[in-house]
Amino acid sequence: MADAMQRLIGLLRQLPSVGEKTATRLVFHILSSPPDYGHALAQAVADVVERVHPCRRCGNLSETSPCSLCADPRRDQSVICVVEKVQDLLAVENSHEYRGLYHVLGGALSPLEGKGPDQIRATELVDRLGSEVREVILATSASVEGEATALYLKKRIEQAGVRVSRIASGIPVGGELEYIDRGTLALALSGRREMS
Amino acid sequence: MPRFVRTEAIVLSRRDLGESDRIIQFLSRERGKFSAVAPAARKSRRRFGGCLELFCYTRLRVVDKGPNRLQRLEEAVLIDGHDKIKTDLVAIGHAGYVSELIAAFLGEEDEAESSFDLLSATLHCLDQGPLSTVSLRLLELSVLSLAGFAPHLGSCLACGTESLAGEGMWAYDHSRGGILCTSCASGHENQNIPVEVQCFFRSLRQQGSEGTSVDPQCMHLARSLLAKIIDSYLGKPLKSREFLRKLAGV
Ligand SMILES: [Zn+2]
Ligand SMILES: [Zn+2]
Repeated sequence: MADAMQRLIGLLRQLPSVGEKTATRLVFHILSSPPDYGHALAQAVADVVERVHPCRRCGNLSETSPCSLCADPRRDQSVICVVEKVQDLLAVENSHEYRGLYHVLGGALSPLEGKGPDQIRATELVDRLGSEVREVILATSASVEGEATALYLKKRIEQAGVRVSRIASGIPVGGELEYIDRGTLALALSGRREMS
Repeated sequence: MPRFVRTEAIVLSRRDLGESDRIIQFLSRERGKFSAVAPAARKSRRRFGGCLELFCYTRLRVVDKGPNRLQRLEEAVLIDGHDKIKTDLVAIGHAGYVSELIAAFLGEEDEAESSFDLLSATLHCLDQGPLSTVSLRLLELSVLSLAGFAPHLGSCLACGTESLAGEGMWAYDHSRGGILCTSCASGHENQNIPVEVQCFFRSLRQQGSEGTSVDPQCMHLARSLLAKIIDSYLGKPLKSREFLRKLAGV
């Protein structure tokens, strides 16, 4: 096999769920397509790497900073929904139940990985709590890590005098937001409860 | 030949495998420490429900595919989710610590009845809230004792001079796992350990955490000595202790 093909197969194999067989099939598919396709694919990968960065404000991945969600004046500026990762933001967004702002933590506190508050974007969140923000919705996952994160953030947000609520109902214990279906997530958001 | 095995076990840790599976590490009273693949555990809501979260005590059915093959989880039913632990950040930290500590000192082949009982009892305590610092030290001493690494105290390892009758400073020799008197310790790099710390440990072993009190300075020394003993046996610091250290600054 040509060196260039082997190199591409090796790179594709590093992607999740892609084994040797799938990677080989993808490379043959690219080679049998018109050359434009291969060039466009390469360019798209380069663009994603070069142009997409976390929004300085909310942590969402975007080509602009602030991102389109932060910059949209029609969104409710008084509510911030806190999620662990961008995939969770997309899941909440797809539920069409929420019109406020977001904050992506970039992870969760983890006792077994030794991951503490300094390793998530917690201080950045607290810094956003100006006079405009009335409520923070904690939409971290229903795992031990998600609960630990919610407990920690609740304390810090309350010190800033802002109401804190937690999505709960319907999210199965251990559940990651990105895998929960739209309807359930919409219910969980609308049925959020103030954290006691 | 694959065979079905039923057991009850506590979730020690878990990690993602591929896009949708998880590998769960369990501690069972009869089967000791073992890992099993939970297919589709990340994506499917129904398959295992909330049974595979950290600290959960669960009734399991696993397929044992023979030696050196990862077991596969078929069914899990929750017995006790220790939900109260998840309402207190420090209790979560302590539960992570006891899980990691016990797991680190257990091999897959080791007999685990006492370790299981210790973990189970500690998780029940944590349902009521975080552990006291005295209880944490007792926990560490207990895990070391179960693993056969209880620190040798009370007399000099080299010459046998008794320590608890007298006063003053002794040295802890981490390579030998016990104390040395000042004359036997001279010329070596050892950690200083006053008699009060030894008395504290003895009291913990004899009376448990309830009847034992200790001043902050002695507690500080006891904590750092036990941490160093644990780290030197394991060869690396525990991540959950790092987590607790970070929480203490909150
Ligand atoms: Zn943004
Ligand atoms: Zn001596």
